[in-house]
Amino acid sequence: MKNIYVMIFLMLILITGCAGTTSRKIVETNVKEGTKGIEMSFFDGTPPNTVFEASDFLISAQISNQGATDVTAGYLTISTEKEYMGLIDWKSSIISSSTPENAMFAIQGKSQSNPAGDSSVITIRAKTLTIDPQSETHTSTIVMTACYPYKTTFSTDVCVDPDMYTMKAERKACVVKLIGLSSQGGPVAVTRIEPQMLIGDDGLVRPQFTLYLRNEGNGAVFDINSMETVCSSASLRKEDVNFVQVKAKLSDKTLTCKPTSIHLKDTDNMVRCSSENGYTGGSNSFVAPLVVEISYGYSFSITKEIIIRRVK
Amino acid sequence: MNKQSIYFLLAIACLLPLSSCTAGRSQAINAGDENFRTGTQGLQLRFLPYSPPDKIFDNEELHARIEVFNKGAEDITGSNNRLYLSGFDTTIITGIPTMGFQIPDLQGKKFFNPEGEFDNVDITGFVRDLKSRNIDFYNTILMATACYKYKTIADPSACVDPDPFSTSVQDKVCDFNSQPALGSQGAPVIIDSVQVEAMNGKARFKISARNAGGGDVLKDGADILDRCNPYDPKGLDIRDLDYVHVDEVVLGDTSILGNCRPLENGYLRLRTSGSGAMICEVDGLSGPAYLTPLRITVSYNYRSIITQNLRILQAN
Repeated sequence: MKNIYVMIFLMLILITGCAGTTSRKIVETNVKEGTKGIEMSFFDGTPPNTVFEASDFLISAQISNQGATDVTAGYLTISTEKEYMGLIDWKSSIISSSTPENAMFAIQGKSQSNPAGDSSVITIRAKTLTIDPQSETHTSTIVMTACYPYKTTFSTDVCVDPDMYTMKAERKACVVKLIGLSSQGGPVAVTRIEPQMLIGDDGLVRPQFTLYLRNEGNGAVFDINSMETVCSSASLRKEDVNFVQVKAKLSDKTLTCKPTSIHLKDTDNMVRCSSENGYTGGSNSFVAPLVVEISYGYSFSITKEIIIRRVK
Repeated sequence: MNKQSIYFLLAIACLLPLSSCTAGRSQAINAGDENFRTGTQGLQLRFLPYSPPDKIFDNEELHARIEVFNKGAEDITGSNNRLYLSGFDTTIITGIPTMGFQIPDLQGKKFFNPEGEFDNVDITGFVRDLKSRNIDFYNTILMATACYKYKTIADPSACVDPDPFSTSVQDKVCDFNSQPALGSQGAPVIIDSVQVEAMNGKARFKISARNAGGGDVLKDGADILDRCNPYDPKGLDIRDLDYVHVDEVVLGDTSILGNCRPLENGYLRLRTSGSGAMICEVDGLSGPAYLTPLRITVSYNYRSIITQNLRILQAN
């Protein structure tokens, strides 16, 4: 009797076990989107809205890297009215070295294993000095600035068609066309790419890509080679500001970009990147990855007003 | 529970797997049905499901399996018939030969095989690492191109009336004004229509051909098949397309190919619309009206293309 029940049970398993296999689903996280880099915000109450003169207080801010590039050597500075405030020290897990006025920091950006990017809390001990005995209060502004090297690196797929202008009767695998882009995980973005297939005197076809760049973030761009100058109190030169460097590769081949370093204006910031290697005219079209790397320094500030009150 | 109930339950359990089997393809073969020369397909291509899947990682091999199905009436034989895979960057997906793969010999539809023969072509490629090259992902197109030799044979019955305007009251066997029934001939190029014009002692046949297969008609010849390769540096010229070679036009047992116009060195051109026509004449006809077979054979190369999207992601 028992055996019969076991047989029925086994047969039921056989029948239900023939369910179809589920197809493997690959889940992707696109970290190369957004126009943010380092983001900061003061915590409520730190600094407080009102502080008594000659007293200590805390300045606390949340700092996060919401772009796709790691920051390995950025600078944080606190600017105050030196007659009314002084800074004591910095505390944070992301700070590697500091003086009362500034600190060097490193913070990881977005990645597949960390899609939100790293964030940390910065705490600075500060103190107020005595205010003018004739005044009851004094309003002062605290400015916290992050100044850091950054990159916008991304890849996109482009059509390479060595046979665009001939009478060959080929069916194309892809069509050369304008590529519109939105954001690539950094404040400086490529907004569109115009591909062209140029025929050289040697009959070879050389792809050329015109990249249009724009500062989409809420900070200021500067030349990455001028970081020491820009992130300190040294005076700025015109050529330090709004400069980015551009590199590009098509498949394995490095493209020649002109200019390599471009001054960003409000509109029409163009860089042309061309392939030195050509393709023979009869070859069929194919899809290839275009990798673009834009290097720059970026600066972003947050401010808070506090009222220093005289102690009666 | 008594023994009867148990046996009843067991019987139900045994019936369940049997009833869940999908019914096999049933083929109704009508005895004596020899009309396998139907349809407008030649070689049909298909990527088999998940072969490849729409996404793979860069630490995996690319496996593509393409089913090649001869759905026409002509056999496909010979090493010049080839299948190529292109459309992607060969520095990312490597190991796929640019010389392509031979299409296996496949019988066409026959009396004892009304579906035609099929086989699979397996292609393996190797994906290079994306992360080290700063490539976030790679979206590409896999384009499978089949280039093969084919033939169309049509043999409608045509009405020949050597005395079309006769005043005799005798009944005629057929009316030359009614067009012979054609339909399709089990090939991508079809003989669309045959219009008969009868004169005293003479007949004129306007024969129209059309590319109905959805692919490209190429001139015949091994050189053309080689240049059909998407990697071939010479490639196909516009003049290599849309020509069929007229092998024979036989009325009864007499070839009338020599009296067919316009042909360019034996080739009939299918114009930009994909269709073309020739007019073949025969004279020296006599006697009453009669039905006779008109056999038309054209040969050509054909190019069929299918595509599939593929996305390659970084494994790390």
